[in-house]
Amino acid sequence: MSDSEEENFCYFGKPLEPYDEDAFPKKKPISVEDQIATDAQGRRRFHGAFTGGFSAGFFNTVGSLEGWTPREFKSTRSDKAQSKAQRPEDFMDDEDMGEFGIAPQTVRATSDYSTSKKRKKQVFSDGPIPGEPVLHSLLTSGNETIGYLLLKNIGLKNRAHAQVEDLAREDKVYGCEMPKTYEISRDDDVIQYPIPDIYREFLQKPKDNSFGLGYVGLDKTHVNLFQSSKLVIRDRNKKKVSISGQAFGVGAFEDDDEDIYVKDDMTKYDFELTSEKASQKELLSKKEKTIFDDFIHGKQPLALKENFPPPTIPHSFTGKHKVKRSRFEPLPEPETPERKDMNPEIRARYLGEETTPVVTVTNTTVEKIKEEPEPSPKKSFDLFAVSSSNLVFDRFVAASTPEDPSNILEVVPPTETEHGTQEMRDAARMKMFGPLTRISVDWQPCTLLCKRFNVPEPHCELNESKNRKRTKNLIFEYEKFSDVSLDFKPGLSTKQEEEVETETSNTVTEGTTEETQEKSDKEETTKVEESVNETPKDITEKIDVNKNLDLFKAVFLSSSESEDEEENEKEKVEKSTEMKSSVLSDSLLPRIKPIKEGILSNMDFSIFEPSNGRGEKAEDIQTENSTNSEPQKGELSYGPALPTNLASSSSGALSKSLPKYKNDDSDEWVEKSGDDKKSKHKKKHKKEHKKSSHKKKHKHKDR
Amino acid sequence: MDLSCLNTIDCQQGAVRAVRFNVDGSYCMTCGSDKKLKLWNPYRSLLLKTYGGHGNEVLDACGSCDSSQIVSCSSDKSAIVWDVSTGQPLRRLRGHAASVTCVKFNEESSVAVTGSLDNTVMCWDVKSRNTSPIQTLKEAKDCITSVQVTDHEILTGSVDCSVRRYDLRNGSCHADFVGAAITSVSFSHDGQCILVGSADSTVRLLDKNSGELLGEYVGHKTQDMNIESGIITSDNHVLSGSVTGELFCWDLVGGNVVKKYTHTSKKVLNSISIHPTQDIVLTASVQTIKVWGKAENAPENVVNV
Repeated sequence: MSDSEEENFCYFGKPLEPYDEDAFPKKKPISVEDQIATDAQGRRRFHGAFTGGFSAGFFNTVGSLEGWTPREFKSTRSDKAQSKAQRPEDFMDDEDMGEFGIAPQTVRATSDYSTSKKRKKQVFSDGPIPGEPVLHSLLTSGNETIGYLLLKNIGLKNRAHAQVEDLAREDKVYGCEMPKTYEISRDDDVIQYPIPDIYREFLQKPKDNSFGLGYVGLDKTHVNLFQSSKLVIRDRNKKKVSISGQAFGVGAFEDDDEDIYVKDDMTKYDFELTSEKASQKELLSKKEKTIFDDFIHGKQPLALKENFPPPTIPHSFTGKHKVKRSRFEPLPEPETPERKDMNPEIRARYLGEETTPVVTVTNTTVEKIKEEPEPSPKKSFDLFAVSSSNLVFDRFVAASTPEDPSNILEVVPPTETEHGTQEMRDAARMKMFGPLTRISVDWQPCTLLCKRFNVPEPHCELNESKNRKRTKNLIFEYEKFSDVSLDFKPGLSTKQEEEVETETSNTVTEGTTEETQEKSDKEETTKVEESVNETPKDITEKIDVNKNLDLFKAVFLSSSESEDEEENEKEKVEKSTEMKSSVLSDSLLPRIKPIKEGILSNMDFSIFEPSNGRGEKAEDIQTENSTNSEPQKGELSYGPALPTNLASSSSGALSKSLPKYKNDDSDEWVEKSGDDKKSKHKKKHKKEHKKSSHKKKHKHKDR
Repeated sequence: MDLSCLNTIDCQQGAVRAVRFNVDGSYCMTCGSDKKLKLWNPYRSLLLKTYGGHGNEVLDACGSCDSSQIVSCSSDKSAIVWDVSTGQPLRRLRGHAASVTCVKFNEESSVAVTGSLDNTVMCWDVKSRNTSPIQTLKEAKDCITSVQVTDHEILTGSVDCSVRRYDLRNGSCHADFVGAAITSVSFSHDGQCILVGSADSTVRLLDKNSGELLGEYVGHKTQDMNIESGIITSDNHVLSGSVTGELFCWDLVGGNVVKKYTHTSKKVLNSISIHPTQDIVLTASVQTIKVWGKAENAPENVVNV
């Protein structure tokens, strides 16, 4: 009252240190017009947030105010060997690294100091002493909570501490008395600091929301947002007339604006998203009696528990089971074996399950394991019956000494692994080196390795069919477009088109015809070879026998065929393999390979009849490369004539004609081993074919 | 055949793990336990260059056909191809799972073949910058101790008592069981025989194609050390190191011990290298290497070796 104002103030907290006002330069208020956003180089940034594209250089020019300075040349001749790893950061400039760029460089706390709440697994360094350091478990962090520190700051420390000490002295320590220098406080976890009353209320109901201090939400009872006017008059009709409204802005002669803001009824507003009915129910239910505020009487009565008393035990019951022995049945089993004698086998026997011998991994060799049968599904409960096929043993050898699983800490004596089979070891001991001690396997070196060693790749014929790049040979390509081939070959009838389709399949036959023997055209033979290589695949894809009956007839049968059809297949196969071996052993290129595999190997070509015009089948292919062949043939057809002996023995004929073909030619071909008679016989028939094909020859003349 | 010690060089490399002639025998390389590889002129005892870069002991080395590169292998599981003149590592061949014990170039020095304690032999392409081997040979069941490469074959010796010859031309692998852990393999100069040194103190000569035993050489002691052996140029004598520090020399045909040359008594003589064309041998024992040759080839007389 009479005191000055300052004395009535109650100070809380520590006042800030006074500072010199002049020490800080005063900021003049910057007008709005001056506040435009600019970037590092002073260029206007639109609306302060848009960075848009990246500007080029300095004010859209180069480098700096001074212009572009070229970098000094640094010779990297000596550094050529160094590998240069370039990071994307090398190509970025300040703008990119800046706040709005694509790779902003921000300052962040390292992982040691990260404040993420993820608790990472504790990793202990593997020094001489592994595991958690003992000191960690002995020492714990201090027990001063942040609250304590705050209160201490306020100045409560002294009083609290004194009171705590009083409490501590009350504890009695029984037993060994701790030395004075080292005292463990009994109440480490629970420390009660006496706090002033002003905080007690707050601490009893700690804040659990993030609203401001003292915030109380909207209350339905606040019906009137604004206080209605206190100017209320009752007029003659006893109606309440209140004068309310804004005092400003409305003239006497003007109608008042509808006052939508002043009077409001909070009951009109819902505070929860519930439907009308639900809220009604809620109101109703609330009227019911609640027990403990959460429970209400149940609607249905609880079912009464039926009480089943235990059975009455007769007096004579002893609890021991005596087996009545009968004369007819065998003696009963002796009493159950001791628990420690039990093992899976005995147990299984009692349970009546099938047993498989238990596989102990260490005692069996790899071979033995592989013989073991699969366990039946019934034994799924026996965890020890393992199927050997489920375990991968190819990289492991069984231990030489069995392991004792009961004592895992037992020292395992070092053992020498024995390599090689017993026979080999014996042979080596007896110094019988040679076939007994040698194992030879096929090993395929990498193509690159062979290339580097400058050595031809071994097993190449097996690889050729798989690995060879199919050289694009247009002549053979069209078989893929069997339907369209008509367009490409003017003048061809459909029949011929089919023939042409299977050109590749027949190139072998062509190659083996007597006509082609006359040609020593290497180009042609290489093409044949290529087609031969392609054919295994192509045949199976393209040729549908039933569709191209005529074709096959023509290829594989000649008019005089019938008698030769009875040749048995085995012979054919043998011959072909024989041929193959003789052919393949020759390292000369090109080679002719008979097609033994594929869909044609088992075919019986007796269903075919000789057809006309077989001769020209090969024309399309052959005409391009074998112009010299035509005059050789003589009068009628283009291309090589069909091998007549082919038809006789279906696909076996291919192999048979093989030697013949080579025989007639010069030094490029392997010695023949076939017979001449058939060839003469077939030549006759070939001429017949040729005569009939004279018409078609005409069409191909242009080629 | 009479050899005398022409020169002794103290390599100052800790222990010398291997000594190797280069392709023409004019230089030699020593692989040290100090992780360094040194290039010497052994006739003049000149240290030409030291190559550092391995993370652990250097175990073997091989010079390229033009002597421009050296490939070395180490216990750090890698092999390094060095440029001889600059001393810089050109390639690092990493792929083995354990220390690499032996390495050889092929005839054209386009492939480096390494053998390792992880039971595999890996063929590396030196020309390309590929970081993975061209091919890995996994037939061996135990550590690879020695590897030899000819123009079309790769010969490997392993602790699983088998010497394997991979023929690239035929596409076959012949494994000959020898009965004892193999420590070194080499071809005879005519290429028809294989000399196999094993840890049972026996050196055996096998026929390459049939695998039959052509000769057996005993007398030296290897205990369980990795002792190297070889056939001298003229294909008349078989040489081997020993645990007792002696270089044993046998008559190839007769199998009898002809001579014993002592490097350092009672110190293991583990590595030998035979000159590709002349009767000159390098032996390594502990810290030193010795050059053995005919007396008339003493350093003063050597001009264009």
